[in-house]
Amino acid sequence: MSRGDYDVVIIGSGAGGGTSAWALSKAGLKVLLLEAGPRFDPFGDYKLDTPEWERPFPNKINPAGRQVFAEMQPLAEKWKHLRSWNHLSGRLNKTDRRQSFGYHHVLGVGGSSLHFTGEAHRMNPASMQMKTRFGVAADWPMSYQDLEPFYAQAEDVVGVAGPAQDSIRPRSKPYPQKTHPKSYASTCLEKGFNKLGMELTNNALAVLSSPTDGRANCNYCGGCLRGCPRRDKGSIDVTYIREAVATGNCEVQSGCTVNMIQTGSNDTVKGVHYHDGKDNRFVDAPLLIVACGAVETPRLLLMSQNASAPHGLANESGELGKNFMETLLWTSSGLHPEPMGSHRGLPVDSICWDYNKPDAIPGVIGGCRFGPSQAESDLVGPISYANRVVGGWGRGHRDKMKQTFGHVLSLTGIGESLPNGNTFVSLHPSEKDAFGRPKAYIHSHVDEMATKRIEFMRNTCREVLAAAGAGEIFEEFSSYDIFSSTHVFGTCRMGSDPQTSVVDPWCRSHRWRNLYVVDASVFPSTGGGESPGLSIQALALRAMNKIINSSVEYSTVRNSEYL
Amino acid sequence: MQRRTFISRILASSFVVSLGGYIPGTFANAFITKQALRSLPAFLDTLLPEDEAPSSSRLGIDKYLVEHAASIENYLRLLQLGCQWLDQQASAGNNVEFWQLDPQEMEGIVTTAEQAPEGLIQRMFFDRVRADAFTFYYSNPDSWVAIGFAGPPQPGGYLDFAAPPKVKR
Repeated sequence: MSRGDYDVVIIGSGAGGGTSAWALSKAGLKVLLLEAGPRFDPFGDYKLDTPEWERPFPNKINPAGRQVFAEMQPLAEKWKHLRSWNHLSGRLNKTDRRQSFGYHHVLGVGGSSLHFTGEAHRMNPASMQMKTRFGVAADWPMSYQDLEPFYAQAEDVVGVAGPAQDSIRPRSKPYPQKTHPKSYASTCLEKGFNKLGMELTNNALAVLSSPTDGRANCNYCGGCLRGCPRRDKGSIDVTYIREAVATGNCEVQSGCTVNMIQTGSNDTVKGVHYHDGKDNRFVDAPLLIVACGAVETPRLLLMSQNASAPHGLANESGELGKNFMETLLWTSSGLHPEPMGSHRGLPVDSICWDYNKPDAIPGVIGGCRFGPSQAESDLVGPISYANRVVGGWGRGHRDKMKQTFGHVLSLTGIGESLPNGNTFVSLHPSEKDAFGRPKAYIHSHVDEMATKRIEFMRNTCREVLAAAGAGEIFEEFSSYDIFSSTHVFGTCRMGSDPQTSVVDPWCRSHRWRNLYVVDASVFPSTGGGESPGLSIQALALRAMNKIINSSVEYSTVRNSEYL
Repeated sequence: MQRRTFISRILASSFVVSLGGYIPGTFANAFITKQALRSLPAFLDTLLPEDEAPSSSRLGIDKYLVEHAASIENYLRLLQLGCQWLDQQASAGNNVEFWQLDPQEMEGIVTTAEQAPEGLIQRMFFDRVRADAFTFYYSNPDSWVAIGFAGPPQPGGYLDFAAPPKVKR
C-alpha cells in the first residue's frame, strides 16, 4: 500500500469507526477501515438454530489477551450485602478484593454491536452538564439540541424501533420503526413497577419491527447476545459498514492490528504501522480516525509516544487514559411461581427511566435505569437453568427443571459511572500481548458514591421483583465486587479546553490536526445508564459532517495537504 | 461483562466440545479402563434418570463426556479415579461394581460423593462430571420437551412472546 491510496484511515470498526466510514465514503472519500478482529457471517457463525445454541457469542479471538487489571480494592464488611452470589455456588467472587473475570468486548468487524442487545438510547439532556450542575465529571461541549439531528440520522440508518412519546429526550421526528410489544414476562414485571408507582416503558431498540432494506424483521428469539442470524438487529456490520462498502469507496481489512501511529510535520499524523496477519505494513493517513473503545484507544495513543509526543499521542493535557468510567450495575434474578415463558422476546424490550436524571436518586449524584435482563443474565436456556437455578441431581433435579423452566424474572439496574483518581487506563510496564505491544493496564475503583448508587439499584431491583411476585431471589450480580466492562467511557475526554481534555468538541485532537477519536472514550460523562452505542454514532456523524462540510478541511484531506 | 457472557461462564461448566461425530478412540481408552466405562453410564443415569425424556446414557452422554475429557489435561484420569471410587464404595458392602447396584444404593453413593469435602477426588469427580453432564444432556433436543422448552430459538423465534406460555407440563 502506498501513499495516496486513501483519504481516510479508520482504526476500529465498531459504532464510531463504522459510522465514520459510512459518512465519509458516502461523501466520496476513499476510506480504509482497519479492524483487528475477524469478520462474522450472520448466516454461518450464529448457531441459534442448532442444539448448541446456548453457547456464548462465538468469539473468534479472545480479547482478554490485551489487558491486565491492577489489584483492586478490598471489599468492605459494611457493603457485604452488595456482593454477587448464587444460591447454589455461593459468592461469585470468592476473594476479599474486587476482581475482574475478564474484559468482554467483541473483536470483529462491527465490534461489540455484534453481541449487543440493540439498545439505542439518546443521552438524557439533564445528564450532559455534570460539572456545572454537580461539580463532577465534565460537561459535554455541546447541547442535546446540537446532537439531536445526528441521533435522528443514526436511528434511520440502523432502524430504531421506539415508543411514540418521549418526554425526556425531545425528538425532531418519530422513530423510523414501530415500537416492539413487551413480552409476557415484561408485562408481569411491569405490574411490579406499577405497584411501586414506577413506569416501565417500551425501550428504543435498533431491532427491526418490519422488514427494511433487505433485512428481516425480528422474530423475538431473544438471542441478540449470541449474534443475530436474521440481521434484524442493527449491528454496525449489517448497517453502516454494508452501506459504506456498497459505495465502492470503503475497503475493510480485518485481522489487522495497529502497532503505532506515526507523526508527521506541522502537528499532523502521517500514518499507521500495522500487522495484517502476515506482514508488517504502513499506510499513509491524510485523515486518521481512532475508534477502538475506551481501553484500546488510549492504549494505542500511549503506545504511539515519540520525541514530539513524549507522553503519548494527543496527551498534551495529561488526561489521556484518565477519567475512565465503567459499568455500574446490579442484577437480581428471582423465580415467579407462575410460568412466564421468560426466555421469549427481546432481551431488553422495556425500560424504566424514573431514576435516570442525575439528581433522581435521593442523596446520590448520578442516575440509573432499570430493565428486564433474563437474556443478559443468560437465563434463557436449559443448561443455565440446570446449573444456576435448579442444581441438584436425579429425579429431584428433573422434577424441578419441569417446575421451574421459564419462571425466571431478572431485573438489572445500570447507573452513572463518574471518574475518580483511582480509575484509569495506562500501559502495563512489562506485560506484552501476542504482537509484543504493552498490554492495557486497567485500574478500577468503586468509590463511596458509586457504591451507594449500586445499593439503590439493589434495593429497587429487589422491591420490584417482589412486587411482581418474583421475590424468591436465587442469584445477584454486582459490579461492587466484580468489574464489568459492558460499557466503558471517558479516557479521551472531549472538551473545549485543551488543558483538561484530549479532543475538541468535534472529536479532533487539540494538537494533531488530522487525528480524530470517535468512540465512547470521548464521553465527558456516562449518563444514567443509557447504552452508549447511539450516542457514539451521533457524535461520529456530527464530527464527520463537520469534516465533509468544511470546505477547507475537506479539500485539505482530498489534496493530502497534510502530508 | 462483559456481564452477559461472564455470568454463565463462571457458573456453568465449560462448553467447548462439539457434540457431533463421537468415535470411541484408542487414545481415550488408554487412559480409562473398561471397568470404569461400565460404571460411568450408571453414574450419569443416577444424575439424569429417565422420565418423559431419555436418560443420560440413552442420549449417549457418557460417550460425549469421555471424548470431551480426552481434550482436557487430567480429565480422563479424574474419570478413571472417580469411577474407581464408585466401584470401591459398591464393593465394600456388596462385592459388586457400582453399575450392578439398585438405584437407591447408587443414589446413596452419589450423595456421599456430593457431600465429600472439596478437594477430595470423589467431590471433584461429582462436581465436574455433573456440570458437564448437564451441559451435554440439555444440549440435546430430546431433553427439552419434558421441561417445556420448544427451542432452539431459531429459525422460528418466539412469535407467541407476548402471550402467556402455552407449553403443557
